[in-house]
Amino acid sequence: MLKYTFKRILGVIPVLMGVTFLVFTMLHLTPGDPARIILGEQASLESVQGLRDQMGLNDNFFLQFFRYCGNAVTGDLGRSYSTNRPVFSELLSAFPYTLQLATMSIAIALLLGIPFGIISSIRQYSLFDNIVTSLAMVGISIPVFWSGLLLILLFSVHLRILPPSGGSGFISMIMPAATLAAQSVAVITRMTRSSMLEIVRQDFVRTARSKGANERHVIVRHALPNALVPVITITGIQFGRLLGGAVLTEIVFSIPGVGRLLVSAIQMRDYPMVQGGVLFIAVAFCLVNLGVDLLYAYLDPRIKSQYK
Amino acid sequence: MSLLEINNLNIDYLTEEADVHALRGITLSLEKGDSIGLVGETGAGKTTTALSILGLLPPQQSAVRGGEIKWRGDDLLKKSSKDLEAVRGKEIAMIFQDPMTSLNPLIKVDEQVAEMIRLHDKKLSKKDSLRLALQQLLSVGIQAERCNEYPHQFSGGMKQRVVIAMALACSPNLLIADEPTTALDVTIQSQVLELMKTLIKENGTTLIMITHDLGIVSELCETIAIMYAGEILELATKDQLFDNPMHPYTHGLLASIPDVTVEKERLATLPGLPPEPTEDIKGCSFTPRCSRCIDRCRNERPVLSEEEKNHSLACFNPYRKS
Repeated sequence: MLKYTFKRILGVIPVLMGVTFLVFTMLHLTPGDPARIILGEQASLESVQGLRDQMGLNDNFFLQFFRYCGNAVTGDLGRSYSTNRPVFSELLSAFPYTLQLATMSIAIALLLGIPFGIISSIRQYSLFDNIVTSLAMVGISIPVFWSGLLLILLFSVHLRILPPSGGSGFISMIMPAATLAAQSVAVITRMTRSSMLEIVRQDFVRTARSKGANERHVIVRHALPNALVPVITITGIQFGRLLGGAVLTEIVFSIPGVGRLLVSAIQMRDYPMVQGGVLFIAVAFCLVNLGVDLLYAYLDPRIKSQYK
Repeated sequence: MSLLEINNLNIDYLTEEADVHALRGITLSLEKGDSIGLVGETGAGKTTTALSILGLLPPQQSAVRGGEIKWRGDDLLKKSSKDLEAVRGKEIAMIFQDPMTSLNPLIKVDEQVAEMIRLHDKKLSKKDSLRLALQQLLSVGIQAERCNEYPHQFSGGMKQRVVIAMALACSPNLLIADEPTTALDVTIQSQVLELMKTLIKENGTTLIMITHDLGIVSELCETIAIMYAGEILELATKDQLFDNPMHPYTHGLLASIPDVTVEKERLATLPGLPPEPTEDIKGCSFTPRCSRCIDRCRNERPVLSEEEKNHSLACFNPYRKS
């Protein structure tokens, strides 16, 4: 298992190199001169050239790329053009907000989605199932900026029980997390339901019943663990997506998270910030995927035995 | 009082188009220590009979249209699900057809056997139940060091041994084996059958064996019930059935067993197909394929009744010796 984990971590390196290369190339090809952006339209040609030399922008493309990679390994992602602070520390100060938001909404999604999915599957085509499946449809369809605003209107403006903006502690994150969770709840509910429906038809579930186990035992001990693998996959994808920053939610609730940081960096052509941000998200995504794969192995001995 | 008594059991499977008549009036009774083989083609109602005894028919897709299943005098069809759970595994256990899929892939085999024991002895500790499970697994010939493994590490024959160990873990009074060897290859088949034979004899377990293989039945069972289209057509002791088959269907079945000593171009077959299971049959269900069919067979349904001692028959015009 350790060997497998180590191998998987090694496998992350080429992925990150690839991501860095793509982002680096794309930004390199975008029109606009970073030195000009920093110094402004009024600056003289000489001073712009001087800064270009100083920043190494006149060097060969590959030289620039490998220099960037080398620095990135040591945690140096360059300095932001707009704030002149190190990109890495900017990201580190934004990340806790994003992490909190993502964790809370995934927790909500799992706590609601899995039980909903189970009950829906046990009582297939019942009233509960119909309501849950239609709500899941609604949850997937409603855009965050609309549901977020409605929640603010209800809980902050009318009822005055929750703050309208996030980013200041647990309470302030409840509403943004709930807004963001709506979609994940829907996705996880549907996945749990369909996976359970498939598993309860399996022979070993009938075997469990023939042993005299009650329905609850059959579902919790035998059906659910077997149904969880696809649910974990989808949860991992959702979580990774959320760690990349939920831009709209962060904007609606004015949370200074990674998503907002990245969008404003793009608007301001803050190249090191964009590069660093994308790299950071890629790392987060890879780590979540690694976690998901390890969890598979933990849950399913058949997967584990392939890695020995 | 019989151990198990099934009276005129009718069961339908519900589909969108029509009701499928899976069982059309099964009547059967078993005494302690009996061993009966239910033999018939696919769709004859063998597995449905077994599942209905344990109450394991899919509740939304099936309906009992009448009849009773009496276990020690109590109708199992009227029992609450809680009472049924106490019967399942403890008093009546079942071995399913496909050992590949009938074990939970995420649970170690000894734990799956131990679970069976614990379900019916709530006071037992996990450790003690595992110890009993180990003994049980040893008795079916699984090595001690492999008991702590997962089903995917086992071969098909070994998995079926585990399933047998599990089914017999609580010393049930009745064991229902639904084609326990169909999914196994022939050499493993005979090992598994031999094992079942020994264990059943040791424990004095009553057996219902479901199969379409007359050879297997003759190994393990004293009585044979020939099923066709949801009915029992002939019920007799093994010797009587093989020596003196009276129902035309049984005749056809026995005639179609290939004889390795005779050289033949084609194997003997029964012409035609079983009736559509959705059809309502007025007379005998075998009429369209029967060579001895008379007018009465088309309009009146023959009922299983004793023709000779220990030999019952549902036929108006059976074969008779002499």
